[in-house]
Amino acid sequence: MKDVVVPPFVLFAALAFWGWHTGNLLLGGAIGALLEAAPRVRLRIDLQPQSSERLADLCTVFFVGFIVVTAATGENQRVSRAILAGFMYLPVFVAPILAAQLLSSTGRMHLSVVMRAVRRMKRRDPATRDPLVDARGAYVALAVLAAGIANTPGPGYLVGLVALAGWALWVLRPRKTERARFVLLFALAAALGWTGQTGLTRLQAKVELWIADWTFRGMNTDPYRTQTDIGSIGRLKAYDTIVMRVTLPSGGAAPFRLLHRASFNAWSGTAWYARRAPLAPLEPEADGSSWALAQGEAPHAARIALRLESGKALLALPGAARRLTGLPALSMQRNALGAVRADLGGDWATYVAHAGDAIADAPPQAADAELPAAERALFEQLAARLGLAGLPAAQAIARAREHFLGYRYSTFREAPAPGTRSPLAEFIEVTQSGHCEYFAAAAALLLRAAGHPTRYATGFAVLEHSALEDAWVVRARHAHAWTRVWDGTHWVDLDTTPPVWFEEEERAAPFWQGLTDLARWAGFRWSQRGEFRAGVGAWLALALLVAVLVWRLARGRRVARRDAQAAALAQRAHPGLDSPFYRVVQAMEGAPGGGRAAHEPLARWAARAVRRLDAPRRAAFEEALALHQRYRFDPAGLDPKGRARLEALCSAFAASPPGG
Amino acid sequence: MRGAKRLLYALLRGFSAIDLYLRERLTAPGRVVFIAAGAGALAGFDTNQTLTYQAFTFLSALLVVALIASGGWRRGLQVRVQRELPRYATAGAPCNYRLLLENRGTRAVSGATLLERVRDPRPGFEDWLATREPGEARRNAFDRNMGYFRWRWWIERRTPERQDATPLPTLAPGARVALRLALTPRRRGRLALDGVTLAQSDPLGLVKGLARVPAPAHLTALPKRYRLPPLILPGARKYQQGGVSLATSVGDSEEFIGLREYRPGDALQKIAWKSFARAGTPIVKEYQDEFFERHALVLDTCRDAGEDAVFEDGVALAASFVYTIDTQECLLDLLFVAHEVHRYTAGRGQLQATHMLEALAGVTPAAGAAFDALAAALRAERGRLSSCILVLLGWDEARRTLVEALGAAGMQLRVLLVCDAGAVPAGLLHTVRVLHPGAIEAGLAGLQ
Repeated sequence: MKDVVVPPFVLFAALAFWGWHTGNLLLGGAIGALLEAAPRVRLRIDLQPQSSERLADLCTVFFVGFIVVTAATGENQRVSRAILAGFMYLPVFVAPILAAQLLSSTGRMHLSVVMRAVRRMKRRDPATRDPLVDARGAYVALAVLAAGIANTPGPGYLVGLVALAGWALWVLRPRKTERARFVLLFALAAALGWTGQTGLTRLQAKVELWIADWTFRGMNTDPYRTQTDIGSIGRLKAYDTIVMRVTLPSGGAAPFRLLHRASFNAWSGTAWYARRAPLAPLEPEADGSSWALAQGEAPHAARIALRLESGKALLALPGAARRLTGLPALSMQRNALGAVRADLGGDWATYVAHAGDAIADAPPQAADAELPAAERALFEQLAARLGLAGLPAAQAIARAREHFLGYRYSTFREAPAPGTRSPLAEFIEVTQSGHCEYFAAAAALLLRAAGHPTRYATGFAVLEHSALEDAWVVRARHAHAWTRVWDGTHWVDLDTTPPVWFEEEERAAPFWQGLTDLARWAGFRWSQRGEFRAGVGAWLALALLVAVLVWRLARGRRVARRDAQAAALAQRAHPGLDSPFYRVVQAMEGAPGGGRAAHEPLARWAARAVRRLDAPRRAAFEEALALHQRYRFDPAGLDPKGRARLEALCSAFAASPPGG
Repeated sequence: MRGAKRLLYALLRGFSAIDLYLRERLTAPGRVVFIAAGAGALAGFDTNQTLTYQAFTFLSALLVVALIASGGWRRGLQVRVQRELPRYATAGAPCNYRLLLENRGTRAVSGATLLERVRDPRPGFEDWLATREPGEARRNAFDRNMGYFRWRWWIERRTPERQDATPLPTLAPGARVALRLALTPRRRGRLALDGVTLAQSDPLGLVKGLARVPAPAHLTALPKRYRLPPLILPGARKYQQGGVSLATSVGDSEEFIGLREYRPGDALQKIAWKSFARAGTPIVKEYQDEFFERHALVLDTCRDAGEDAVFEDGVALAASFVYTIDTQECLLDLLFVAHEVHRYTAGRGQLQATHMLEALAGVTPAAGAAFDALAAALRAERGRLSSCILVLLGWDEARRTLVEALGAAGMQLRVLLVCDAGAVPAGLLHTVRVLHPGAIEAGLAGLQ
């Protein structure tokens, strides 16, 4: 494979670019200058292959150590951020390896220095190809990418990248390329790159929006408006994402069956609005995490964990909420309709909600009694038919509840309402089936027609207990709507949706829900872990780990290397050179025609010499030769007995050589 | 399970195709840009966290523009390629040859490079499933099941060592040029070439435009050979039925030694009718039976461990004997097992040493084959053999029995056992010379 030739000063420019973006301009410039100078100075340092590998391993240890330390001690302990930070500084950790390459006499390094897999393959098979490579091209790319991890705002990164690439490619362009063509193509690529990155940013924003929509379905954080699915065609989508976990004291579940998030007082089209209900800031108590919502006794309490969107949420609270504790919010606001919005940060808000026995929201306003013109005739006729006019609130509520008991629960709507009939009119007059929003809206408007102020309330129904978590879990599909009615002294919750709604939606849950719940619970527990503080123990464990790693890299190799060296030395020493058979060769020098010529292999000489020996000497010679060959070439060597025999034979032969 | 293997096979095949495409297409700077774009995409997956997605888009745009721009130069390109490839090469040794290139187009070809293209070396599904790479048993279960290393090994043994592209001089329309090229087969066997690929870099220097010119050819890479010491093959001459022209005539053949008068009992077929006519008395032709040396070279291919270093050195050793023994004065039988016992004879009027080496180039291990068949074939021939060289790759009772039986029959034997240094079997006969892969020549030093 051909190396990439990096034009002069591109290395320096890339590192200066890295330093500029990461806020280490001096460091980047200094490393760049050193690396540019390395091939130009006379000094040459050729490291042994093992030393180069050890240097690379040491750099790896520092790199990994940096990530571990950053993850353990950084301001933001997220491991992913620490890994990114490690990669941002990777050019610094790799610089010594590149410097060693540039200072070597070849100006290149073996691939095995940076690739442990090649080292392993070489250990298995010494014939494995381990080419010399020039890592400068890869290093420039690394520096440029590491600069991008710094995430500096503005167009500087792309502009710098284009300039660097343009410079390098201009120098490296094929010889016969027309300059105009090069410039045109490069400009086209730069324009495409710019368009592409803009498109990618927008695409991610869209995807995030879609995911947020999918994940936080039912987690509307707007206290002023809620868009309903009244009139929507098709089946209402149900999402089983867990958005809330409620831990209740045993036996005290009733006040927390419906957790209220926001109420609305004006119906228009297919949406409810909160008119004349501005948010007003709430002030925390002295401890900074307790918030008083209303006066009065609060005998009931529940711990609630609520999923947040971008750190904000409309808190889910029991209708009769009096006080919140354990909620260190940055700010809290509340409106007259009972919605409480909190700004917290993070993914989950956990708090303890204390509740009384009755809803303590402010008395009704004019907006709570207004009937929209489009629906007035419909609901006045219905109220008249049910005889609600003039009835006390309690009786009117009971009669309305009784009326809606004859309706069916359905999440499916086949077609839009025919003609000019509104979806609510079709619900009342034709289908008499729908989901909770139909029931809540219809009940609210019906009771208004009877002269009782009402509100459209949204929130969650707490109905599913999880044995796994030992808590009540609330999914996105448990989002619910009901009606609040003023009974003359208090607001009361009226839920006219047939109770089968919960079972019907439960049946539609996917069969793998249990498995995904387990993963969700694990994720929740992980998000609730406490802040990691590296104590003495943690530091000791880290030091031990680093020590083991260093030992594995250095000490372990030294042992292996010593073995290898010993083997190499043994190989170089040519085992068996001290064989006593050479005394026989010397002894034969004196015999006529028995001398071994300088160029003559021993085997050929022996074949020639043995013919000149008498029978007894020949036998001894042949036995000694066979033992010598084993001593010399058999990897298993010669046992002491064999060596003694060889010594004896050779001594006897040397003592009385032929012709001696 | 088979379905999963099929999917794995398809993935490996696809991965290989992409790998080949990138190798062919990208220049050295192009490779860096491609890898940097990939790394940028990975690090910039979340565009809110890093800016490397900008590097990804820009570098990808560079590659796309370069790819589109690289396509233009092939228009009107017409090149004829003629390859003067030798019939044989040797595994591991460079093989030089000439390649004639003629520009038959209307435009000059300049700034292009040339690279040989081998026939698709990827294994078929059944081959990939059934084959085992040497030492595969030592790999972990994951690697064995994935079969990636087996895949790589299969491809590498069917492709020559990687070559750098050869730069072409500028070729005017109608011009011809002769190039001296070299390729080094990695292993013995047939090496099939599909044609050549002409390439020219795009103006940005990142992507190569390719023009594939078909020029199918093949050569046979003979096994590598070791230097043997001068060999004296002992053994008495034996009667050889059929004489030296064993293969060049039909029926029996004997050496003509002269004419003599007819004796009662002589076969009528032996009467020399012309001489009878001249002399007036019956004259017959007299023949003498042929006696000469015949040696057997037996390669023990009954091995389950695949084409590992031991097997390859065994083949190389057999090739060394075939190459070294002078078959002008004797006959040399090569025996090995591949499904059935194969026998090739070299000598006067018989095969030449090159043909024997060609046969050895294609030898594969006969996993599960019985050594007994080879032994039986050898025993059947022992009456005609002067000596025998046994190249064994293992040692067991069957082999011991054969060696002892041949020795007892008075045959001159050379028994060479190739095995790993750490796996020398126990109970070897003293006549067996043990050789280890990587130290074959040293082990052969004392051979006579």
